[in-house]
Amino acid sequence: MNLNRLLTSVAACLLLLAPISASSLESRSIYRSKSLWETHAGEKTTLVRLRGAPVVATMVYTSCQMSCPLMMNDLKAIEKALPAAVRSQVRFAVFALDSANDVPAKLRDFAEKHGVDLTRWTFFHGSPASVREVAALLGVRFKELEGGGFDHSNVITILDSEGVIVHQKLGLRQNPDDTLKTLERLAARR
Amino acid sequence: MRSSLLLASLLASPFLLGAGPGVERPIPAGSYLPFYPARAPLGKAQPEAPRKAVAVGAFRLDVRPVTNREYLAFVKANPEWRRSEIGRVFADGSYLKHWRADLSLRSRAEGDKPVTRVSWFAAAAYCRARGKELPTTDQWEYALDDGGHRAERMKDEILAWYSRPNDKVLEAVGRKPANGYGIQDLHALIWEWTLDFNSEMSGSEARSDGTKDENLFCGAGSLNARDPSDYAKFMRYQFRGSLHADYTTGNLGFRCAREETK
Repeated sequence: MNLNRLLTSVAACLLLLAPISASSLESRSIYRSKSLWETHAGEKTTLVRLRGAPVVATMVYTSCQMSCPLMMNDLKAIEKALPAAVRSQVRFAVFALDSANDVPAKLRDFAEKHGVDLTRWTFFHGSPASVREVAALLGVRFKELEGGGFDHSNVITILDSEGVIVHQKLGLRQNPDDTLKTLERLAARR
Repeated sequence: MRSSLLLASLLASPFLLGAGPGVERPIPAGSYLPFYPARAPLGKAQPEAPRKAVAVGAFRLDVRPVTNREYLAFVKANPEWRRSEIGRVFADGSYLKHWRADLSLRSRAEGDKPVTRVSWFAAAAYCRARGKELPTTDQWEYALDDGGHRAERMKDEILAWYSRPNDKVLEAVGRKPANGYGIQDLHALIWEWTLDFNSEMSGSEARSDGTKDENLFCGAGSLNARDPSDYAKFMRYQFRGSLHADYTTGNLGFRCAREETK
């Protein structure tokens, strides 16, 4: 027991000394993923770029007529409902399911159409393998349909500043109260 | 190395025990009837028949599931996938729990058994390291379907296996006869990860139109299935729909596949 405690404190000291690097990421952090992405601005990147702020993450595709506009509205409603001091800290990450079509230029158009503030929002385009990996990390189920488009689960995920999933909401037009509370709590912690 | 692999694949006839690690067999292009319904995006005309044949291109599939010994070689070469190193985000707490330690199995015999207690992330990384990928669900089901070859008998065997409690001790791979494509152990040993296991929506999933698809659920739902007697396919469909990519269990392993090189 005492030995355990000693080892734990030694381990804790070592952790404090460890340099900040990808490997020092929390064990449950999705930012450990090595998947490669390109932002709406055409910048090549990995998920670690999202580190350091609470993040609201989701997956959509831009040619989607039904659920994705609703999902975007849900996200914008969350953004709007946040107190200004919290809103300025929160970042939005939207991952495109459609690797073939949702190239950065398409994502810029989509962002513009939705009138979102690109200092807070980032849209990501990736290879099918990257999309599959992030879908697996976020627990998003999806299937490409005959004749284009995707069947997919609508999930809003809240990540803490280290990329650990702290809250998820399945479905569209859900009551956002607990999502807002989670973001306020994360922002207060910083 | 290449010539020994070539020799091994020549020897890997269905009933010989000659298939070494990662030996593949070519699977010809064709089509099969999946369990899941055909769907078009909302707002577009839905397919007339709820279920229709899906075309599967030619590919190569491992003859056998990946064994503990093969997986051990992988974690030796790739420390980030060792039990002590892996991020909890990529595998739950029972990852490789049946091994003695990071780099040692409990016995020699374990080496020949299929590796289990591996997550989807780990299985996918293993296949990538071999220049392959996990088979898609369509590829896997198509290989099992075996062109309808001995379909009835296989269905009975699979149901008999599914209805048995999990074997406490797994058998070694490659002990059972191969199917018509020369593939072994697709059933009656372990369940296997597929690349797109998460294309199968679980019951609680919100669909893209926000309604539930009653076609897919138990009881009355299964009556709407393509072939209600094919309960085995329904079980696999439901099983995959229940998985999360970080799950590891004692009866879930994998094998690899790759596109046929042109």
